[in-house]
Amino acid sequence: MDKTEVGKLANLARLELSLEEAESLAQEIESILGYISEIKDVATDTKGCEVTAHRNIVREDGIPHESGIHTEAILGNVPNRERDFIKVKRIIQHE
Amino acid sequence: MSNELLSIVEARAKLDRKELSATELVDQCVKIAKAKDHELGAFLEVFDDVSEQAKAADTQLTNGKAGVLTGIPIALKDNIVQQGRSATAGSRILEGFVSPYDATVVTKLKKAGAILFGRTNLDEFAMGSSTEHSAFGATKNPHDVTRVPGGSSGGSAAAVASGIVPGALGSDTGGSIRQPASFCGVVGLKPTYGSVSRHGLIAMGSSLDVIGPIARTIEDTELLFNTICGRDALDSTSREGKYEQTSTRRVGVPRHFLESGVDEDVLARFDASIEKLRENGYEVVDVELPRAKHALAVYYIIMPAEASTNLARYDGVRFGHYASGADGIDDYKKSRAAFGTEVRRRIILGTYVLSAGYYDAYYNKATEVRKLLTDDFTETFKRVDVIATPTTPTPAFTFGEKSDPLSMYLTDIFTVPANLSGMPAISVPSGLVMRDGVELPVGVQFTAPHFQEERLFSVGKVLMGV
Repeated sequence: MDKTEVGKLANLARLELSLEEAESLAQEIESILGYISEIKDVATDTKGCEVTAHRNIVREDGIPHESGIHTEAILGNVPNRERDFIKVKRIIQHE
Repeated sequence: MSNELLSIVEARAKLDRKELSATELVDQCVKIAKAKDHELGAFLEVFDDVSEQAKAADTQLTNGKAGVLTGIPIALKDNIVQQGRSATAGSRILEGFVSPYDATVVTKLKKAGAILFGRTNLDEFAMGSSTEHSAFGATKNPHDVTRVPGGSSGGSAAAVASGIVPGALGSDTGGSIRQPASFCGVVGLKPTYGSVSRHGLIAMGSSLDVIGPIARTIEDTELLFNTICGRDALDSTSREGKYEQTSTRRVGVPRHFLESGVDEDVLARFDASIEKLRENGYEVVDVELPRAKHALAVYYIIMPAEASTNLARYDGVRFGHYASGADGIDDYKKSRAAFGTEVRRRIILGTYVLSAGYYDAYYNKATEVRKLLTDDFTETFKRVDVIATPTTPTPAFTFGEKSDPLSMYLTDIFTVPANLSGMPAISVPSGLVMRDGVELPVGVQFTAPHFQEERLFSVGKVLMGV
């Protein structure tokens, strides 16, 4: 793991790192990977196993509440709001 | 007479007998918080409406309409949301966030009559074992302020241990309830995965996270657990448990797992606890958990993988901190600069183990070893009722002592298996050890099969002399 690879991962995770931070993270992650890599040598014959028998239990579909009653409480947390919309920067750029 | 260290059960009895009012109890808690918390830093906020809540409780008590927790102040780790109040998860990225709803555990506490006392400090997004990684400063150990209270529920454990509140809720992903309970000399329960609703818990590792109680006695821990557990339609991973009342007679001790890395004094306290159980008629059996030694490696793959996924939602668009960048993507990056170092480290690590080319070698392999490790426990529980280990390999460490992240991670060795297997585990005080002239508490941990919390309470009661 070097600082270039850390930089690539950071970009995927939408994080901005200083050169200094990328260098120290590369070192720390290298040492953590050194430790966790021990599992590569554990014998497993459980390919594709289920982690647990526990599955999501979902409620029956339906109308959970009257439309609009939570709108203000939720939009109250939005950093950039325009009327009842969340405002973000332009995503599609014109040529 | 001082009500400082009354248990929940004792305080409830006094409230019922009118020897104490909820207002008096809450005033006392506020007084202790004022006297101690500027030094400890257990609370991020003590609510300014606690007196009003206490008045309402007194009315209920007078009218004979009291619930099991009426008048009892309970603190909440600040990754559990409450309607109309801030929730920070110990992070700057949730700056300005006000929750539009109550977590299900909050709804249940309110229904039982509890007074919601305040929000307690934690490592940012519950990522840490010392509460040093909170964006709002570290919490200190009430037994020795030069030492950490443990983490990530360090604020909740310190609040209970210092006598500010009789009980608190925390969350446990790899030991975050049990380890601080051990360091602070109180009881901490990580319930069975899925037994307590996580609706309103700010997620870290979704196949590991669970909410649980911290208190000073086993009875109080049991009472809080019974109040918050149960299937919730708002959490699709919650389940109704089939709790059984079975007699607990056989204790398994994985000696091979304790051979290296455990502090001598901690081991002596552990052996004394096991001896006490033997004196009380328990049979002590040596057991093998051959895959337990891989638990930490598995955990530090699965947890960051899930955490990096869960933390993708903090992008400055819908809530929390926003910083403007050159374009949409840059907005995300500038906003996410509010994450602290440990959080960034785990996001990068999680992104790595999930990325193409490494997924099979790390994440898939880890889920396979996780299954084998769980099998080890399931198999062992055919022979014993509970499995005992120390909660932590050492007593509370000093601030900055574990500055290398890997050395901090290694302190979770005994607590992560219960999260990986989903099994319930409790930390019970096992005595004191001397460090630099100060007596520090340490804990013994018991693990039981899924939904067998009852066994943990029964063995805990024996140890705590009830």
